[in-house]
Amino acid sequence: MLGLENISIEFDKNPVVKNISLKIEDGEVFGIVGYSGAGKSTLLRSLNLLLKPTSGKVFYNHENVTNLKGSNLKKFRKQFGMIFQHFNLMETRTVYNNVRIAVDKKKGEKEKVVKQRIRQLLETVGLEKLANKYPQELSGGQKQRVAIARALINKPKVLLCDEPTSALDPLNTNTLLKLLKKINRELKLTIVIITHEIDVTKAICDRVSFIDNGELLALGSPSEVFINNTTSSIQKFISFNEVHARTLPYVKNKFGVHGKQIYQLIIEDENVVQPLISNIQELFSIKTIVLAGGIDVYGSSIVNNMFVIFQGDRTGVKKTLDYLLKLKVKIKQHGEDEVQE
Amino acid sequence: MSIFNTLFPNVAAISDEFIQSTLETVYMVFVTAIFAFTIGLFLGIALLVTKNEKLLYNKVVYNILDKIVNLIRSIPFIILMALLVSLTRFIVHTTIGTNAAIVPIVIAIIPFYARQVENVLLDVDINLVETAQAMGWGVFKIVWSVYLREARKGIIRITALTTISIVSLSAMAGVVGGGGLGNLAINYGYNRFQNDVTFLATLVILLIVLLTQSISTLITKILKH
Ligand SMILES: Nc1ncnc2c1ncn2[C@@H]1O[C@H](COP(=O)(O)OP(=O)(O)OP(=O)(O)O)[C@@H](O)[C@H]1O
Ligand SMILES: [Mg+2]
Repeated sequence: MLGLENISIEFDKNPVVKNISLKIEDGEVFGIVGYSGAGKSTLLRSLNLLLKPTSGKVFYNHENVTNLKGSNLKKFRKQFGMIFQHFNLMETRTVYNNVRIAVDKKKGEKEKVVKQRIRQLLETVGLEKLANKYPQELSGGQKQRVAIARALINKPKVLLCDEPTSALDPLNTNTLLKLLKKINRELKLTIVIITHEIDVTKAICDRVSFIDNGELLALGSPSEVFINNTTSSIQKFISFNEVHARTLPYVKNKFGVHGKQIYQLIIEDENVVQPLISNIQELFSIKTIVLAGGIDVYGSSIVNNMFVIFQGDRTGVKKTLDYLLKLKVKIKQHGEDEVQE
Repeated sequence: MSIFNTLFPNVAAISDEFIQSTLETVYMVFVTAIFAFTIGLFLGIALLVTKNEKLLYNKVVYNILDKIVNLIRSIPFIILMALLVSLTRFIVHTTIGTNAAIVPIVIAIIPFYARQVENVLLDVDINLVETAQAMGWGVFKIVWSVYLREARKGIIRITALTTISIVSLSAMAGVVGGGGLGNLAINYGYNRFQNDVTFLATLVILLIVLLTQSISTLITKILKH
């Protein structure tokens, strides 16, 4: 278990991380999301003490590690693997040797065992054929997989990832995320991943934290943070990422639905496959106009996030809302100004 | 041999001395290189690590080293030799000859080389430091396995360049009786107008320079990456 307790980090008296506390459980995939400059990388680096917090405590398995120094600090850092946006491979070493150089010699393993382990790991990340190539000869996705192999060679407990997919194309991103998820499951590895792509968190994160201007604004499952949370800066962040958040204002403007009450329905899991809209019409004679929305997978749950207008009489609408609430559909009312443009 | 005698009549007359001078130059360059490169490399690394907040950041030490390097680099070599005469006497107990020439050349080359080492090391992707630290590496291992390794081509390049500078300084040291081909060219070529001595001395110097460059190119080629 990793824990941060009231962590603040300043650079030249300039606060970059402000009083953040959070816990990351063993075996979970934990996302850190936020705008550029929000302090994500800084926060991530406090977890393995690459950066010492200005104030606050860092815990690792309930032990306060904040003040570790010298060889204890080095030993502590070896519990972590880390991968970066730009891969950071050594250009003068082959794929094999980039992994080889990372092997912790203090463990005193036999050369043969080490060799075997590197080969095996390269196979896991799908690079067994490229072992003798140099980084310059690889694609971005391949380089990142070398970086993963290097990060995993000492069997770390935690993998820290700083925007590992942002230099990759969608295909490579997908391959990488699948690989991370597989590693997470098979090796029971805790993964902390920074990303600015909501899709990345939806694909692999059990929980995400949203960091804005150094503060922790939200923490929860991807759907809790990105659908249910109405904090304006999160909603604004979503509007750059999520289709519905772009389409809604467009539809509203183009088709003149101003002044009408728009409801956001968050329909989750088994309700997604229920004929809710037909039911409403049959039961309460309410017609539903869908303005925007979509069904998407958030981690392990499936969510239909819809923006609708109900046509019908007042009591019918009221009964509709009660009916949906009883089915555990989450409903939010959006006035004109609430939906982000 | 007779063609040689016609082309270089004066050299032929002092052939033993010529060979002796060539060996002196080679000796000067070689010994200077060993001292200057070792100390210069350490100084360059010291400049690097004391400047970097992630390594052994120390503003005071960096500033002192930085100022010393700049200071020595800005003194013309001839003047530096004059300035260092006491130090030279103290170290090699004489102020003339090849050993006496080596002291000021080493002192002049160290900061020159150190600054180039620093620059070459600064070209190494700074993100690799963080990557190494995340692997639990200490400063020593980062310098050795990241910086020196990744910058090895650059280091070979500047080492060749600096060797050529040493050759040039060793010739200049000849002016004040430092021995070597420079000394020979001054004594015979300049003072006695025996141009063929100067010419052949130049040829030999060029050969040494060429050889240095070829070795550097060869190593770089072998390393590939
Ligand atoms: N070593 C440093 N010295 C001074 N300021 C820094 C340092 N590192 C980061 N900062 C500042 O701290 C702030 C947060 O930086 P950080 O790298 O944590 O942001 P981020 O959320 O990771 O951004 P991005 O998405 O662009 O990577 C930025 O304003 C940055 O300029
Ligand atoms: Mg960052």
